[in-house]
Amino acid sequence: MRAGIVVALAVTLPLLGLRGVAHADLGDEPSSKSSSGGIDQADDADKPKDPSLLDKKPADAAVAQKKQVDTTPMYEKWQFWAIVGVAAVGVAALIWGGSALYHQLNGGDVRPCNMDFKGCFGEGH
Amino acid sequence: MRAARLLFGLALAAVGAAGCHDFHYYDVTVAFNGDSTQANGFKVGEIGNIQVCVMSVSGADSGSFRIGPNSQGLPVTSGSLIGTFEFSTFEDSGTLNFKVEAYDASNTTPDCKVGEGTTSVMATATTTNTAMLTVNRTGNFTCTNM
Repeated sequence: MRAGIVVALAVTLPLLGLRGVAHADLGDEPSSKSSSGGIDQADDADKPKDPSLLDKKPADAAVAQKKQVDTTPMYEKWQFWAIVGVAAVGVAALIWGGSALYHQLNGGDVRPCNMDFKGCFGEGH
Repeated sequence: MRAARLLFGLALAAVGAAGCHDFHYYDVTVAFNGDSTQANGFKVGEIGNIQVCVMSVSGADSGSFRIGPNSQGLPVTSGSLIGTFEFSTFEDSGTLNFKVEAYDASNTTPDCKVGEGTTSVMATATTTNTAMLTVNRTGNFTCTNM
């Protein structure tokens, strides 16, 4: 019985110690040392007191304007329509070229009917 | 990469298959048998009454062409020659059978048929081939002036 209690304590006590270490590492549980310092974290000593330093700078305005420009819909940009136009011309050229190539590979145009002949008929006529 | 090779192969095959399509021309000169001394020859004055001829092709390829009236040399005003007709085809093997049927009226009904001629030509890879076809008298002129 005594031996069982000793074994139980030997297993439980190290686990309790590990639990405290884990909380300290994650920072979930403020340590007693930090809370006892008396300085509130919201009071940032490094924050400038001069309001002008906290005002938005011109660079901030430019960044904000750029963000606003980027929100323009894609179809309102000239680059979009330029790409669409080039793509359309390319597709049309591909279709026309393919059709012409196919026609040529299939014999092309029949030769014109000789003026001295009374008539021409058959393939291509 | 494999798909690109496959596409390239298919394209080559298509080009190879399509390359077989070359035009071949058969220039057939058609004339009536104007020798009235022969049994199948047209009598004097009959050739000028032929209004329509139908030229048809069978065998390796097929086709049909109507000649006349008042066009393509019909009715013939003098002599017995109609002229040359060109048949175009992609075929380069087999036999092409040309047949011309002559009628003495605008309608091509059997009772108005007065002549017929045939000729056969071996289809070859040659671009232009020539042949001669003579139309013989096969019936009486019963539809003339109808």
